[in-house]
This record gives sequence, C-alpha cells and structure tokens, in this order.
Amino acid sequence: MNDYAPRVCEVLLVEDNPADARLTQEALGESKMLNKLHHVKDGIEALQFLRREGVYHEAPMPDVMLLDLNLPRKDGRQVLSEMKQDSELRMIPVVVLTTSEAERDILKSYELHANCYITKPVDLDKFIYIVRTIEAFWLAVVTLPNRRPDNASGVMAA
Amino acid sequence: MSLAGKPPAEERLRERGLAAQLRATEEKLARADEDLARVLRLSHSCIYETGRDLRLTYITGDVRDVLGLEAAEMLGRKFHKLLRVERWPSVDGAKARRHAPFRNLMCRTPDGTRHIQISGTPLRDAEGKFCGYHGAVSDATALIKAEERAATNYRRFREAIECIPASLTLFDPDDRLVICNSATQNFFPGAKDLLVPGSSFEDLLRADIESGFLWKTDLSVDDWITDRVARHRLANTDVIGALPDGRWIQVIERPTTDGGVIGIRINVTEVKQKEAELEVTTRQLEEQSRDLQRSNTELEQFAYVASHDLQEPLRMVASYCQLLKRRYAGKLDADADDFIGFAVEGANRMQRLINDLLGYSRVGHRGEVFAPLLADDIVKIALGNLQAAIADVGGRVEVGDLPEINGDRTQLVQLFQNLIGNGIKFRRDEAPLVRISAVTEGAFAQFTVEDNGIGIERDYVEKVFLIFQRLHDREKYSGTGIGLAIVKKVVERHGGKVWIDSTPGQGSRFQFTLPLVDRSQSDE
Repeated sequence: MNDYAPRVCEVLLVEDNPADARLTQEALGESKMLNKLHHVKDGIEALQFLRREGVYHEAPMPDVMLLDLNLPRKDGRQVLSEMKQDSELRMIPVVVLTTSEAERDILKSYELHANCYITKPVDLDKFIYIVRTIEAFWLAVVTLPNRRPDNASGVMAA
Repeated sequence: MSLAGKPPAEERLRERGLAAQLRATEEKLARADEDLARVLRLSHSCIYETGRDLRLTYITGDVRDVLGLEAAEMLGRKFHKLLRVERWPSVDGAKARRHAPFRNLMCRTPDGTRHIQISGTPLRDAEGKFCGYHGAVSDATALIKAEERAATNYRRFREAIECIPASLTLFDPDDRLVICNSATQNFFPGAKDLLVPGSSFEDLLRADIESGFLWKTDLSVDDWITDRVARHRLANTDVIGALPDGRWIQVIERPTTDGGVIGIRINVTEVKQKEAELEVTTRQLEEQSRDLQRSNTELEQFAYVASHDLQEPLRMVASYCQLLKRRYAGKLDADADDFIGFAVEGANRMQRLINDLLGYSRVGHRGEVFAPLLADDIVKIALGNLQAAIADVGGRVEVGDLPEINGDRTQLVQLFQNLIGNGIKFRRDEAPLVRISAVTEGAFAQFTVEDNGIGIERDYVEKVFLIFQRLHDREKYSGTGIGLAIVKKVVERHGGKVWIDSTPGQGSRFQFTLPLVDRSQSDE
C-alpha cells in the first residue's frame, strides 16, 4: 500500500538550543533515509515557516515536526495549540521532543493533540536510536495524508 | 324563809344540775391534766414553781426521764444545787437582773449526760412583790449537740476557706457580705475595714476605688460601679483583668441556690507572665521553624533547579563527548582516545550524580498525596524493577506478611527498591538473600529489610544515610551513594524513622517505620 517512491522527506525541527539541534541533525544524518532537516529556533519562526511567511515563503510543508516545549518568544504548547486550530496545519504530525519528564507537560501536550511525546534520553546512543525510530515510524511506516496541492507535482502540472 | 318555802322537787332538780356540772368540770380538768402530761412528755419537759427563796415547791412532768432525778428529792431544793450550772442566764451578753424573767439557764444533769435548759417567769403577789419563779425545764441535749455540730462544721468551713490562696466571698441575696476569707484583703486593699459580715458589695467597691484601686475602664466611677454591681447580681462573671498595681486578677462569680453570690478572686499574674513568656518563646520557635522550613524549601528548590538546569548543558557535554568517541575513536592518536575516554567517563558520572540529586530533591519537591497502599504490592513492584539485577547474581528475596500502609506509592517503591537493591549489590561471595518483614507498633508499621551482605563497619553506620556518601571504591561497587539518603528522606517524609544494625561480614539489617492506614478515620 505504501508508496516508497524515493523522495526527500521534510523534517521541521523547532529547537532553541543549537547544540541540541545539531545533535538531532547528526542523528538524522547517520540514517540511510533521504531527509531534509529544517531548523527554526522558536515558536514564532515555526509558525512563520508553516505559514510560509517572510523569509520562509518558499518553505516546504513538513512531513513531520519535532517540537521542543520550552522555547523563547512563543513556546511549544502555543505552537501546538495554534497548529491544531488550523485545518491544514493540524494534519502535520507533531512529535514533542523535550527534556521534560513532567506529568503536566505530557498531559498538556496530548490535550493539545500532539501526536506523540518523547523525552530526550540522556545517553547519546539512545538519543540516536530514538531519532531514527521517529524517522522510521513517521516517514516510512505510517501513511500520511497527501501534501499541499501546490507542493504536489501532479497539481503543478495541471 | 324563802329557802324552806321552795318545793322539794325543785330543790332536787337544782342539786342534780349542780352534780352534772361538777362532773363535767371534773372531766374537763382530768382532760387538761392528761393534755398537759402528754405535752410535757412529748416535749421532754417539766414545769416547775419555786418559792421566794428559789427552792422548788412544785415540779411535774417526766421528771425522772428529763432530769434523772425523782420529783420528791427535788422539792425544797434549788436548781443550781441539784444540777451542774453551765451558763447563767444572760440578756444581751450581760448577766440577767435579779428576779427578772430568764430563758436560758443552761445546766447538765448530775451524771453529765444531758443538757438542760431552764426558763423562768417571776411570780408576784397582789402588791407586786416577788414571790418565786415558775417556768419550764427541758432536755436540750439534741439542740446543744446540733449547735455543736453546726459550730464544728462552721469551723471546718472557715479553716477550709482560709487555706485557699484565692479570695472567697459570699454575699446574700441583698448583696451584703456573709463571709469571706482573709485572702480577700489582698483583693480589696482599699476596703479592708469593710470586709465584715453585712457590708454591701457596692460599698466595698466604692471604698476600694476611693483608695485608687480601679480596674482599667473608660466608664465614669459611678457608671462603672453600677455596671459592676449589676454584673455581680447576674453572677456569671469569669474575667481576667489588670489592676493598677500591675497584678492580673481572675474574677469568677456564681449564684448560690438562695440567690446569693459566691465570688472567687485569683491572682493570675504569674500565670499571665508565664503565658507571655511562653508566647514569646512560641513565637520565636515558630519564627525559627519558619526560617528553617524556608531555608529547607529553598535548599530543596535549589537542589531541584540546580540539578534540573545542570542536566541540560551536561547532556550536551556528555552527548558530544560520546559523539567524538563514536566518530573519532581510533582515528586520532592514542592520547586523544584516552582523553576522550576520560571525558566521556567524567561526563557520564556527573550525569548520574545530577540525576540522583534530582531524584533526591524530588522526594521533597514533588510528593504525591498519601494513599492507603498494600506494602506487599509496593514490594512486588520494587522486585519487578530489580528482577534482572537479582537474577544476575542468583539472589533471593523472602517477603513475610506485610500490612497496609499510608504513603506515596512512587516514593515507597523507590524506598524498597533501594534497600533490596542495596542488599543484592553489597553481597559477599555467597548468593545474596534479602528478607523483608514487618510488625505493627501502634500507629506505625515497623519494617525490617535484612541482607546477608558485607555489612557496615560500626564507624560508618551513621554515615550511610548521608547524600553521596560512598564507603567503597568505585571499581568494586558502583553507584553515587544516593540510595540510602533517598531511603532516609522518604521515611522521614512519611513521619517515620530509619536505623540500621549491622555486623561486618555477616549482613545488615535496615529497620524503618511507616504510618499504618488510620481505619478509625477512613470508616467515617
């Protein structure tokens, strides 16, 4: 059923810590899958990216989004809340990827319809394993809805 | 002769009438005699008469019963020769006048067993000249005994109220003083002279106030007195107030059954001072306790924030060290490999420390609400978590009957996990065996977790509960030394105590108490 046509998977990472972002990038980089990591540093940039505003006017629609909760300017919970109120953006799977183990953060995230919640492991090997698992699951195992019409080549041709 | 002229029938009739009249009179007289005798008998009295020389000329009644003497032997003699006089008659305290009426010549029978009271009224002839006494002699033994008893009771009562260090006053329904003890003087310093029966409460107050002794009040003197007298009548006072001389007095007033008022005044100055001192001490203690609590909370907060915030940068250090190792191990020179190795190891150890510190500070920082828990379930969860560690060393855990306790599930799992884990970890060559049992002690369950491990030297027993205290080198027994510190903190958060007995080379026995479920409350 799944279409494994080799295409670049777009991953949007919302993470304010550059070292953390790089680590995620490294982990994804070790994978065999074709993916492109887009990195934004806070909630406002994330929503601009999704809405293709300003410098992001050519941004692709991400296949999956990795969202940190504690972000400057606009935090992850707000981003999640705004996305899930938007009929288009709500279809993008959101993986909350954070260091918080707090029960209230977990609960709040699922209340805001996060697709899953993952606590960043402390150990690098485990972290790499988790990033790859995310990638494998969301980009290879599940079937996602069709992408935005203006991103789909078929529509472009029409 | 008119008499002779009367017809004989008429004469007879008249004689018959007189005879009947005589009979009736005699009957009346006999009846009166009987009545008198009955009255005298019932009242245990006699009546008497004397001549001018006070010698008895007549005495009647149950003379022998009352006086223990025969009437015949008394006639012609004087009372004071026959009986032992105890008190001569008096009028208003002075000796009664000669030949005056008297009521209370008090004597005793010759055998001394009975009290006799004699009264007398002088007899006078047609010219008013004294010619003797007549009067009554009665047995007053019961009366005198009752008086003696009353006097004894009164004396005891007085002695009793004199012993009271407080003032006791009794006022009658007209608010006049009936009795008070001498301690009362201390409470009415300006009215000492008025502390006698008959003084009115109002006069006492006024005299006291005039001498400058007024309770602190905003009212005028008259208003205050009116108010105070009214409250005295109500007799439900219970107040503590300050006197101008600095003393604190408690006044209690209560009604008596006949409408009088009993007043009790207690000097409570010392109590007040102690109270004030205690209040100061309590406030200081509360302040100290608050300070301590604040610094404790701050410390916990600090530990939590520090460990939480340190985790993030440390994760980076550790991750990038690991990444370096992953990418470049064996690609640089041998020194570089060593350096990277040390950096990774140091970062990892620091991570464990911070993680443990975070866990430790969470015991105080993030507790759950206590709930009734089966200790057995808690131990099962802990054993589940330790399954692999126990199996690895061929360990065995024996669990006895455990009670239901009240506590924080997560923390108690950690408590048992740390203790069992400890027993498994610090093992000797033989297979580790941990025994868990419990007994109830009042509102608490006392648990014992025993192992057959290496034990702890006596000198270190106190140290094992300190945070990051390790007794062994890292090579032999890994760990940061947080486990038992967490145990102690969890037990203390549950209001319990933890202690340890250990024989080096034979094993350790950890004992601790946890609160049992309070059934008396949960059943309501």
